[in-house]
Amino acid sequence: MLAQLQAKYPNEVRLTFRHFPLPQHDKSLLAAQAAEAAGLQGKFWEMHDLLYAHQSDWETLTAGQFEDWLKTQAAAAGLDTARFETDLHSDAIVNKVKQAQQNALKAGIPGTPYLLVNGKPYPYGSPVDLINLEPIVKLYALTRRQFDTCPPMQIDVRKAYSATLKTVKGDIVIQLFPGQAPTTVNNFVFLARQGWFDGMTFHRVLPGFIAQTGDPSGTGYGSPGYYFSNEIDPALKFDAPGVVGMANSGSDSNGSQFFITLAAAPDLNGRYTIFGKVIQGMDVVQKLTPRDPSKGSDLPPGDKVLSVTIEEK
Amino acid sequence: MRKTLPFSLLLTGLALFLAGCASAATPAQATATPSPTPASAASTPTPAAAAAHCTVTSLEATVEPTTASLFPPPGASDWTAGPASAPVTFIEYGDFM
Repeated sequence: MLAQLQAKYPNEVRLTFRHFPLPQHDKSLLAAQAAEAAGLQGKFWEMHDLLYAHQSDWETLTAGQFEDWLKTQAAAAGLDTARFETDLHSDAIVNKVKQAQQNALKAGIPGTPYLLVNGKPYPYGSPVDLINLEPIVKLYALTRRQFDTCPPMQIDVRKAYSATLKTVKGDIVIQLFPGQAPTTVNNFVFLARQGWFDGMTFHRVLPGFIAQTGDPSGTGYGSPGYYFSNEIDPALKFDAPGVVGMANSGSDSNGSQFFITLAAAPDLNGRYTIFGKVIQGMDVVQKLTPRDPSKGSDLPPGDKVLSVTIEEK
Repeated sequence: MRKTLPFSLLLTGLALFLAGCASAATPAQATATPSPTPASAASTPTPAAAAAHCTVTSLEATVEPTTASLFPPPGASDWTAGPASAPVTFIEYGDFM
């Protein structure tokens, strides 16, 4: 699975494999030795993939039968079989695999597969699948685009600002409120001009409630690398469809994610910064593909925002 | 293919992995029967005039020294695929059987 992930994200993912031949498995050591022996001929990953893919073919074999099976596979993979047979039981390889097993036992690894993501343990027992790991890759990939400083002030609060979101379903025009939420509007204008929003999706669309976007990773966990506090103007309310507010993960944790109400949402008043309203294209917003990331993994792709352009008057 | 400890977890690995590190941005949807009185009326609004405070953050996990010594970073004796410059490195401890 991880090899597939690496193949899908060749520039974003680095994969390191370490042997943990479980002591209760009778052919684990030999299998690991076979991968190492193939590795000496430049075919570690080929043997790695082959052992996993054909596990059911060999797991019930005796050790002797398994060794024959390995030799057949080595020949089919174009390895020098005489060298492979020698290396398979060489001291160097036997010791390397045993050492790897000792290291894994010493580290207290409970079983396999066991993963570390950038040095941090991935919860053991959680599914090791694309559904869980792909968002992690997208989030870490986003770190390359994150900012290491907060946006410099670049708007003039006496001017009028609007944003045009060009989406695959049509344009959405938002009037921004620089007077009521200067930091938030400045942040939005900054990110739009940096191209931060280009290509992002409406990753969370809950009919009758809100349509949320602003996270290029599309996971709902992404941020621009900084967070800033709420700017609540008590005069502004989530009292109609088309109100634009900042999404957050707790008070004063605004980043780049924002949402558009699809109906009045009075429960949100006072908790989320309002910084604009839709003045054109509300029909487009209402047509966005429904998508609830909390409802599992079988979701349709979110509708894309191709670009966000700012008009200043 | 997972071995030992055969139990299922309700939470996904993603949510567990990110716990304490990052959380999904809300708004959360109101319950089926929303209260007619806005609960937020009692909250103290931040004056819009006050300058919003901004802080730089990072997704990078802080790895504890003990974790780093038990699980060393990829080295010369490891089998590795993908560029060293990749933003995410997975280390897998695996058993072929």
